[in-house]
Amino acid sequence: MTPESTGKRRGPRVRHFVLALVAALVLLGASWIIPNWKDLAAFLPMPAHTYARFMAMQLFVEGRSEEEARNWSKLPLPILGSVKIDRAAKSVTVTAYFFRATARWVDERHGVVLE
Amino acid sequence: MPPVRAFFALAALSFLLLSCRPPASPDLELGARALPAAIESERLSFYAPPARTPLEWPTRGWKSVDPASLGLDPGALSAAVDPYFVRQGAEKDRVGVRTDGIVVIYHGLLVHERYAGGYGPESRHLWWSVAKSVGNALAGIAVKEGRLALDEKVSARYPPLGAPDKADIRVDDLLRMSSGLYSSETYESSFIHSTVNQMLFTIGSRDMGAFAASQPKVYGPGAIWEYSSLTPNLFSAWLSKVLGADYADYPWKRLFEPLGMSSAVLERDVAGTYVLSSYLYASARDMAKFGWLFLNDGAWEGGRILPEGWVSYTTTPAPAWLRTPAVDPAKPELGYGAYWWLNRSGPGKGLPWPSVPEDAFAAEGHWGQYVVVVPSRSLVVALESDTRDSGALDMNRLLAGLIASGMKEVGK
Repeated sequence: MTPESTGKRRGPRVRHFVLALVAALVLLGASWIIPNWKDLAAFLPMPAHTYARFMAMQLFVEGRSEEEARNWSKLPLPILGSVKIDRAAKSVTVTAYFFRATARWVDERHGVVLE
Repeated sequence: MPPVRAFFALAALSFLLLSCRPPASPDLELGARALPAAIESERLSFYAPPARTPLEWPTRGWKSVDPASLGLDPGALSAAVDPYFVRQGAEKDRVGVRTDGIVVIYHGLLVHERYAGGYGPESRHLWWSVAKSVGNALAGIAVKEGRLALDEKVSARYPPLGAPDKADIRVDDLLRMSSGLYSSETYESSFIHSTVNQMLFTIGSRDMGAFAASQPKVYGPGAIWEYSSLTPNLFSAWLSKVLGADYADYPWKRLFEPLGMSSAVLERDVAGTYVLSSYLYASARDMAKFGWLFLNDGAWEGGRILPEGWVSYTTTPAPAWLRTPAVDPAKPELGYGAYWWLNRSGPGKGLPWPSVPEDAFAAEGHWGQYVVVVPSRSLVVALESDTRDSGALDMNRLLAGLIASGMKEVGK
């Protein structure tokens, strides 16, 4: 057996092993994602929804300043998208992680609602 | 086994394990409401209504007095409260104890008050789950008016709970956090699986009652105690069916206005259901009025807002709480009555606030909101905060310090 022939045999084996490893990882990932899909799908819009609600609550119900509202509304995940505060309409619209959410003030008794 | 097959076998096993939710235990399905005799003896309320009706009521505002005039040491009161107003770090970091306000009521008089973080006596503050205790009061008022019965099946007037396996859930099961419906009460600790986050912010936020009702049944009703923010909104959605057109004004006409809680805000979801799990705002002074109502057995201004015996029911440990094992016996947590927490031990459970009288009970909210009622000391404490560090707020020490300022046992 020459060193060249050994290398020829190892090549397909390594390739098979890597392919099997990738397939196993994909399957493992899918085995977590599929049963948890409902929860994951519910989680993805959460940063935008939560931040919009928090900001609207602070600004329009508690009457805090924008800086105070931002400090209070801090989430573990950074809000990398846009935050639009409409003081005339008393609403906050947040776009983050491909999702958009608006929270608006309703009235003195009922505070804000997440649309 | 070759490595490739081992990978596939492991993946298949993971899939099976992750697909499963905990099954209902057959032991908890049968006789779920019955308690063993040894536990039955624990099932007593420590609440005793005051012997005398107050001469003055705080409907139009609390009367402030010099604490010394009531035999209290003002310096000791301040010393008890001061450590809770020491802020750490930058505002944006939200670390440590972050008390925004405290109101201390002793024998119906305001003896101590302090604010921070831009809040003041008239400021509205979010009280989070203290809203559940307001839900308790609304239930009590509806009982007084003969509009609901605690042993009534929720499904009879709320079709979303009509599935055969959920049809036996009673109003009492909802108020005592023992509906048996699936719940994952995690906020920051497990974002993805948190049913409370889903309800408040995403897939459940439009109709929170329907979202709660859609959860699978895990245990028989009344079998296991599990704190769940879903059930107060299921109760609220059900109450809307019971009260019909009266539901919209009910919290104000029957509770907030009679108490003089003019700062109260109670939010609704898109379906119009009051979010009795979480979205209540009011000033600390107004929340102290709410506590004062419960200290006085539901009586107010010569009449009654809550029915006789309601506060005793509220402060009676939930049977399911008594039978549910402690998560960590070394770190006792507050006991549970009906949408109010109790300073009670149970079988295998220690006293959560060991330096505070056992008759103390509390409405408690996320990030350190408290309305504490101690009838034996005629004491109500309303504490609003933004304390996000779990466990940073030592309520036992705070309350013990206040009581040590000279608050004597009532009648002694």
